Amino acid sequence: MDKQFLKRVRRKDKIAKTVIQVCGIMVIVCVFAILALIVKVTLPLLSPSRITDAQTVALNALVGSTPVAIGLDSYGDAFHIIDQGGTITFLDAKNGEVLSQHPIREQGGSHIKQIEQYKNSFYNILWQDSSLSMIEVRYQPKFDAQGKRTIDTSFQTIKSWSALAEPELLAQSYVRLSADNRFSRIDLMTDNTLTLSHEVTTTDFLDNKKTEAFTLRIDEALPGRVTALALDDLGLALYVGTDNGYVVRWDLNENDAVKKTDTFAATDKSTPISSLGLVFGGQSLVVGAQTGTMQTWMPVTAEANNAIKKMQKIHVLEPHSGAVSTILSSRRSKTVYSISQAGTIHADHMTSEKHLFTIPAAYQVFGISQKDNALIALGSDHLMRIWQIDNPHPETSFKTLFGKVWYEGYSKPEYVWQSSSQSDDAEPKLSLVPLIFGTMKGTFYAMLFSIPLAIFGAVYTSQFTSAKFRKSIKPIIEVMASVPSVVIGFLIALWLAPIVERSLFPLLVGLFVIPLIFTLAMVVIQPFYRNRRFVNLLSGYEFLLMLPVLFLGGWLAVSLAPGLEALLFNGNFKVWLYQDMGMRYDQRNCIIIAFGLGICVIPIIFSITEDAISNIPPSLTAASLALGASRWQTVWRVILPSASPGIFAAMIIGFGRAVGETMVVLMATGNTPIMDWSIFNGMRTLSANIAVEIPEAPMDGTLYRVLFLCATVLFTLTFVLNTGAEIIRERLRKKYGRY
Amino acid sequence: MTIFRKAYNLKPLLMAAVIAASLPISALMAHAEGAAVDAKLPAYQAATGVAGNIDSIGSDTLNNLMTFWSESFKKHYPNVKIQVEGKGSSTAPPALIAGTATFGPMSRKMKSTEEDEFEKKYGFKPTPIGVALDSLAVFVHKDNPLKTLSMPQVDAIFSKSRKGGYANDITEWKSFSADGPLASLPISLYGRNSASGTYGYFKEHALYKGDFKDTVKEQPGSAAVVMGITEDKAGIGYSGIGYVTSGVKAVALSPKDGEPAYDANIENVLSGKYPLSRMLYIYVIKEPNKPLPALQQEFLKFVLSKEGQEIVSKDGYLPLPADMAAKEQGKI
Repeated sequence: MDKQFLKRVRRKDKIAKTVIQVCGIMVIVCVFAILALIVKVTLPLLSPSRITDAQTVALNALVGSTPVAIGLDSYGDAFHIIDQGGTITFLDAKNGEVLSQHPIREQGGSHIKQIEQYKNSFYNILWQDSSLSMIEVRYQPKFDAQGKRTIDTSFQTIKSWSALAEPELLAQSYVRLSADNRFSRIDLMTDNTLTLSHEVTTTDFLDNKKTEAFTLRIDEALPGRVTALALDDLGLALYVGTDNGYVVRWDLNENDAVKKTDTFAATDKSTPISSLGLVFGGQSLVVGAQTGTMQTWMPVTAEANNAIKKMQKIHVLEPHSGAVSTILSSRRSKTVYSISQAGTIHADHMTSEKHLFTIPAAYQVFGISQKDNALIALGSDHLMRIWQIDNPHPETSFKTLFGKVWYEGYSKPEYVWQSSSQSDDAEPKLSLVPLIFGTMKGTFYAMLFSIPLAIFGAVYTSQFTSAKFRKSIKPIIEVMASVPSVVIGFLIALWLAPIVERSLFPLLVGLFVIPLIFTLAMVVIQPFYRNRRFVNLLSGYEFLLMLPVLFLGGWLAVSLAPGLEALLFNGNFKVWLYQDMGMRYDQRNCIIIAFGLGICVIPIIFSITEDAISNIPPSLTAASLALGASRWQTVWRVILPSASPGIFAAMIIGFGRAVGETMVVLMATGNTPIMDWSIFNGMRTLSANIAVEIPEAPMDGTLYRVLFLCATVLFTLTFVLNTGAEIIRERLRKKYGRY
Repeated sequence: MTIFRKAYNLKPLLMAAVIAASLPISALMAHAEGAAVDAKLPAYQAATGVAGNIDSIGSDTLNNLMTFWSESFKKHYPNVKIQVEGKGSSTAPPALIAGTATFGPMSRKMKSTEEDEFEKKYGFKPTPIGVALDSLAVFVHKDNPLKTLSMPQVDAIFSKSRKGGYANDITEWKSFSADGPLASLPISLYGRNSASGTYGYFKEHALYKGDFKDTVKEQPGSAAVVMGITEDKAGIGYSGIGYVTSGVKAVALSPKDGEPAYDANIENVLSGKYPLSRMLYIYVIKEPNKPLPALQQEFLKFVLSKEGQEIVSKDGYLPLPADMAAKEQGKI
């Protein structure tokens, strides 16, 4: 050979090698880049919340006496101070200038005895003379012609109550306004008794207003002296904490009756309760103790009786070093803000039990903005500090994503996926466990259905049929793989599911009858096989003989089913299943999914298995047959072991396809996030979940990132499985694959 | 099924499916008398020089309405292109914020967290325009003897938290009828996917903000819910009354146990007796003190006109009374 030619060949080899290497590396880089991108979106879920010290404003001399309450708007433009003398002052947050100053009561005169903030913008003010005012502080953004924003500050007195006859008897007062115009007022007297009054205004169709008043005394003896009191935002439940650690709960739903629902010891060793507060939504109660511990309690259905709910300790939050003095709650999430007597401010998220941040040092009062994005506090050094809160994902922690969590309204800790809701005060439930479970469940049943069919099918076509037939069957099955999965999903959800539901029992009978008929047929056919001519005639086309047997089996199953169902299951198998076995039959279930995913997966497994078997050197088969082994013995002892690495790879590739398949499961499973291995109900898989929820997830929000986490989990799942499979395949190849 | 419209270019197939799914609806619409439209509503007067594109992304409940409105609107303005996508109300705020849509039809009000996100992007709050009234119906299979339910019962059927205060969990039809073919069957639940405003509204009003049972089969569209119940004798589900077919039956609802139950008709909705009625909105990005672009303004004007409200009535929803429409018109 001439040297020139060899050189050319080598050069071309070299070029080809480089190109292939570069492409291979590019593929690996791309895969890792995708993974990195997905993980990058997920990572902020773990980042801690940040607070930035935005402004410090020296307390203006214009503000009169000691401030008793402060608050701020959500834009960081203005804040307000209510002082002991009963004046509200609005200030500019940028420079501390006074925007406006008003006495809260026109007549002035009295000082503030007690003030309570709720909903982060309402105040109940009890005056020294025992009169009471409910006010709302409002920050309204206004836009001028250029679209520049200014904040309009104002306050409005919602309602005032006149002084009592004996003002010195009244210790504290709390008022709430419900959605249907009911004012509920709770008075704590100095003799440790409680009085409750409702004022209900109803409007009839002619716009006539009618006001009714109800006054109720809570007479029963309290377990101790009242040290803390909390009322939910609508005035429907009252909680009272005592100096010996008890909390009593009353239901205030009815106008003319008050119902005590629970008394419970909320602290260890009878530690006095120093503060109570309700988490946004009014379901969970935060109990702050003298020792600084913080716990949340909520009503839970008692096991025995469904209707009665008892308070139960659910979450433990980061303790303060001293007594907890005030608890405020966010209006956007289940975040709880608290301040201790020493002046340390804590922020904790209830569901995730995550401690978000601590503001050390001594503060007297604090307030948070409506949007939960800014915090203001007055230090003992008479400086006002405003912090911007950057707290994007307080609700996610390892525990809320992968562990059992006790959610509001649930009777026990559970894995739950229920991500969205119309109301702001819902607790997001983002456990990935039901989704991972659903993915595994769907894949398991799909593989159970498709692996035997595909592998036996491949063995049969490659070893037992005639070459002519084989050549046409393989492309036909491979065409199945090219059917778009959305079409398969569509068909099985709308066409197959009702059919399977109607003929579930015949289907199950068929599972027993058809193999039985096949075995019988084999026994019957045995004598014919002694005839060589018959064997030669049929060789490669035995399946034609089996077709009528299959139809016979199917027909038998259908015609036997009603009788059997009547005999064994009292005429209705589904009812028996539900009543005696406790299994529900859903129209969208794993049988359907196994069929649907099977159509996607079988062509892949079939095709690769067939290739693996066909690649076995014919000399091997020939040797086996020449030594007197039957065709079946050859397949079982020689071909299958030799092809096992390839068959294993086929199974794993099929598995990977089933795990990631979206459209079929999305359309045909009902997407129910249940954790139950039953074949008769559905599931919600990771991939379908991403497809369903990504359009509703606001970019960079918690749900958005959690969905990316789903993608990461899916990626990791297939990556780990594939790597594991590759290792096993290598071992198989070393052991059996010598060619 | 519209959820797949964007991901896969399978429009012909999906269109066929949508037509198949809506056939019974249109058949019903043909004989059902729509609610009477308020005679005082203004007739629509076409303006000149209106052209451009409208992109609408949001509610599935409003999807049909938006499509019908666009078709009639295009008769006035042939140069206008309107694209309507309905995957669920929760898809509207992200689309408005990302700027991929100019209209965000929603079958519920925005949550304050959604408004916060919007305000973060634009600096002002979104403007909701009420465009129609709707009542949610609880559907059962047409052969189901059940006629009425109280709201706490509905809660006990659909919710695992039972905040409505019903004592027992309801999982079997036995609870309603002692005999008959249904008595031995478990209740099979159908509902919407979580992006849907119908899902959110039902969760807030029928479940008293509780949580759905895990066994509720989430369907990607209201028509799919109705289809599921049609095929399932033991089925029960909820969706807008506009999606009723001859295969299902709407149950009359009473607000509390022992109170009279009301059908989901216009009198009961307007008087507030039917417990699951709501307003449907189109959210727009309206800068304060500036009018909307002419095209959007004309579209909304059309929707709130007599012509637009007649479409509402024809599609099985409830038209706005004239004074309500005038109030919404004032927001534009």
